[in-house]
Amino acid sequence: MPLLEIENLHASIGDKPILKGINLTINPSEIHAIMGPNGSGKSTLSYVLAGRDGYEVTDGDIRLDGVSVMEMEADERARAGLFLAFQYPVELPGVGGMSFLRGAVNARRIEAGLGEIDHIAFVKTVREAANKLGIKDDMLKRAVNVGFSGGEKKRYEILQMALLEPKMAILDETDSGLDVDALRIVSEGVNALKTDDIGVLVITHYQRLLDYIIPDHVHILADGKIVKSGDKTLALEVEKSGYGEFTNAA
Amino acid sequence: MSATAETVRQVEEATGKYKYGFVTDIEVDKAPKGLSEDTIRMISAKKEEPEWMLEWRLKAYATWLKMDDPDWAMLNYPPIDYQDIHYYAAPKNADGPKSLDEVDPELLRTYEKLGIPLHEQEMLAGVAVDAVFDSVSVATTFREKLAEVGVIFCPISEAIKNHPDLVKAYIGSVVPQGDNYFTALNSAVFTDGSFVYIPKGVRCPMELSTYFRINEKDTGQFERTLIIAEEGSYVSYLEGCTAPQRDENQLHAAVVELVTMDDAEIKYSTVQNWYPGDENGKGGIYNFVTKRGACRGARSKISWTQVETGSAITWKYPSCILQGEGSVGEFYSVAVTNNAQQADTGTKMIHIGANTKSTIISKGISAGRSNNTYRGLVRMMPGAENARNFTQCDSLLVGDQCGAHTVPYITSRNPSAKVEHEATTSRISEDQMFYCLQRGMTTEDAVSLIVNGFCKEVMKELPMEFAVEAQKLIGISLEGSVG
Amino acid sequence: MPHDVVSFERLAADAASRYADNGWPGSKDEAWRFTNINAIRKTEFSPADTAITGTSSEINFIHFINGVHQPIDNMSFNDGIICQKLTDNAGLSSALAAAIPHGHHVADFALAHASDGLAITIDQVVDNPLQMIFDYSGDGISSHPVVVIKLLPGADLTILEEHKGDGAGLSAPVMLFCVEEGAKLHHARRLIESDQRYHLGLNLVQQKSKSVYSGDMVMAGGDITRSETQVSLMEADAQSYLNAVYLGRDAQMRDVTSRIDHDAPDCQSFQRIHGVLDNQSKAVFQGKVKVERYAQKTDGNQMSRTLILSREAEANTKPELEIYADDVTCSHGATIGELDSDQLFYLMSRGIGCDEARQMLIEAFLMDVVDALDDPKREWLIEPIEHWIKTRVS
Repeated sequence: MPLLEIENLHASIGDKPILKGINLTINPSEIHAIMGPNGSGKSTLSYVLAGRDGYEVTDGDIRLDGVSVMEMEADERARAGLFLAFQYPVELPGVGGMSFLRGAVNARRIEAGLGEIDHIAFVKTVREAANKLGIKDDMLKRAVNVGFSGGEKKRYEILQMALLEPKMAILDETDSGLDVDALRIVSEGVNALKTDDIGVLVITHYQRLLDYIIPDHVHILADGKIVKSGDKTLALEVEKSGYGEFTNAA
Repeated sequence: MSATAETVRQVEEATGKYKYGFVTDIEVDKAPKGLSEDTIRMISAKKEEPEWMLEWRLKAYATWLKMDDPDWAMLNYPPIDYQDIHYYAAPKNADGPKSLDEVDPELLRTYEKLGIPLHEQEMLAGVAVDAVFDSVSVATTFREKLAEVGVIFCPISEAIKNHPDLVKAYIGSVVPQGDNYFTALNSAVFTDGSFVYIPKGVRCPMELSTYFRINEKDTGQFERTLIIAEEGSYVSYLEGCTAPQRDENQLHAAVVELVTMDDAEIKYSTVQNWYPGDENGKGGIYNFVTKRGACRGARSKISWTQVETGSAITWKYPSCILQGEGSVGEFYSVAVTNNAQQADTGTKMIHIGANTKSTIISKGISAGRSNNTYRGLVRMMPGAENARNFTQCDSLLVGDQCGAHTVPYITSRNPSAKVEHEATTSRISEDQMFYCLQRGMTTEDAVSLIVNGFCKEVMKELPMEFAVEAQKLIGISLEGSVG
Repeated sequence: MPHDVVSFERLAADAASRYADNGWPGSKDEAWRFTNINAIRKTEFSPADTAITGTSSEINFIHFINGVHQPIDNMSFNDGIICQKLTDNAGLSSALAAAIPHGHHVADFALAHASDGLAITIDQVVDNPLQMIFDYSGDGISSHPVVVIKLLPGADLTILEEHKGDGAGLSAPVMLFCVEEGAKLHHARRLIESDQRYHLGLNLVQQKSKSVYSGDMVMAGGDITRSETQVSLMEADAQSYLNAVYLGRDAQMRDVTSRIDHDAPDCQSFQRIHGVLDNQSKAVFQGKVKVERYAQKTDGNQMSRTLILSREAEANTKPELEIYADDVTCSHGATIGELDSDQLFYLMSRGIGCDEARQMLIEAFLMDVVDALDDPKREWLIEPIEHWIKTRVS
């Protein structure tokens, strides 16, 4: 059974249509990349998938594991296994990193009937996972994303992904603001999580992230529609010739 | 600087700095001093007003008699003797000239000296001007051209006679007579001012402007301006004011009302340069002004921009009532005070409708022994769903004998509304000064440069024609503040 | 600054005659613009005059019941704390007489009705905190505890203060803290009276050179609760920190009023006020910072943030700067709004439920003010915040 099915998805902000009929199916263990120029609807797609308020879905359906998520709130979708790594992770002043991570993990466990996680064991798990991503202990003690550099924020997103063990991960412009070293660490983090059944959707403007996270399928998004799909060579093609031909076509 | 040079400079400053301080020698028709029902009847008769207007004035007068001078502002001034003022003064033969050729040449020369050559403006600048001299409008240019697109631009005294329905419908509808002490007074004795009507869908083809001039001794100026922008229309309106240099204080108490319907926009700019008094605080205009706009229509917009450099006392809060859904109010202000000037100025933004938005940018500069207060009010009413306000008010102190004060009032009764307010107070840093001086600038040029930089956000809102003048004015106002 | 010797009896008599002349503040009084005290004005309160005995014999523990303090003989203190009746310390009663702000209706009311107070002198560093517990009870009773605390040069003290109790009564405490050269006062106050009570408190702080006052307050209880703090930075290099959290629900009124007078150069003041309003509650934060001409190099900073959780709540803010010195860095900021939707979405996207996410953000917003404090102040203040959040019906 497909992991994520997006069917004829239309969405607007206010009266303005942004997504104009997107169709996309992601099977377990597949990596898909969506590329597109600014304003093509990439970020809207990630927010609509994650269930953010303020976007009106005017037509179509989104199914996770065969179940429609259209009536689900953002937190329900998250607990159902959908993870969004934000392009701009939000600062939460006063919210301690550890209690935030624990809150997120426990919400899932309680729903699954597992009971709250052991405090000490959890701290250990977090430290280990953080270590692999080059996140210092000191960062874990601070308020969520407050005072983090751009790169630190992105690593912290991947840390959360590791801890929450999603079925379907959406990485929204995870490469933006990263230098080459940070890009490598973050990509390694993502690749390390790739088990047999996780699906990954990488949303990006540039091809360079795809050198590190190699996609099985590449889709070009222009003016709210997927205008072309192919394998990883499509990304290289775009890198060479730009988005011009697609925007004109759309 | 040597003692002699210092003295010479001081004398020069005291006598020559305010370049609009001359008096025009012209024959005038003046009411005797004092305020009574008779004064009001006399004004109304002079203006040949219909009966309803007289009734309206008398009602305001009755209200005024029951009111007290407001005392909440951070202003100190001796009680005003309202019986020691002429409430009407008009140049003889000035009743409604139809064209500039009919205007007394002495008046034209006056406006030329003020930097407002009426002929030239008519010919070149493409700005329509209403010139108000003491109690009357002496000239309004470009009227025919404006009439072609249906825009009415005339003295309000004329509008009362020629467009009574419009005046009746709107006068006092934004600023009620009894709103405050000075609006009641103005409603009773106002003599002239401008009336503007922009019909539906019309974008006013040129900037409109009014130049106010107080000339006569012991007169008060009580003008009243009313601007109505119908659905989808746009107008940019400029206002300038000057007065002669006199030892006595003179009173100016004006009322301005603006109304915008759906999708209409009024941009109202003021360069206020009334005589500020001398460096010892002698003389100068007492400026008590109520300006308010009602954004009645959806998506309508009212934008106030003011550069306040003049007056001994300024008491003025141009405000917006944001009724229409999605309407926008803006207030951009620079207030400069020097010597013994006192200014208490700011704005009110009343958010009534949903998705209304307001921006307040206020820059106060205090020098000499002056006091400069920003006083503002932002109110989110229960219906102001998703309304937004952003306020930034910055004060700059030049010298250690002046005061800079900030008094904002913020109220929110809607959780989805968002209010943000920031205020800072600082001075020109020694580093900035030194940097400029080291590059060869004089102290005064450096101050003017830095202060203009501090005000940039506001100055860029002014129409081009005014911006250059306003920039110079700020420099002149601050002369002698750093020694 | 020497002042006239004024006995406590004289101070009370003067206040009584001023109160007789002026009464309660009127509705046009700018200082009371946002806080309607008609309910208080209309009630005839009678002062409690019962002498109390016993209470606790814990060390460094001061207990007031309905404004009357326990007998001096029953109190025991660490070295460095000298506790007297105010009627026996003309020095401190005179200091209080001189410090009462001109025309302050509530101070006059309270002092007119106060029977006595405490004069506490701290002459060294005291490691253990001083607890001051104010208990109130009974309907129609007004309580007016009066406390003057003076820290001599170099002294250091932590005060844990609490106002609690029930009954439809009025508490009007008046306190003066004189912090002498180089002394440090750490002051944590929690106002947790029950829902039908009124509280109108006045705190005066006078700081000498290089002194530090850090006042932290949680206002969680009472129907109408106002806490007014006036700080005078009288000599150079003094620092003052005022942090407050106010919590409103039902039809409660919250009023945090502050005034900081920078009367000397090189002083610093920092204020942080966070408020949360639920149901039909109303609140005002009004804070004025005044910098005198000779108070050069002043650093004055103030930040007020209010969260509105309900459609019927009302938030008012009036941050005020009055500045006569040019070489200063003064600023204030104020925000009013609801929970940030980006933050809410971020939490929910991690699987945290909407209600829980809201609670987390409210808690973070409130903890932000007190979290950095050291214990026992931190603990003292966190408790009422957590209680408030737990008992909040979302």
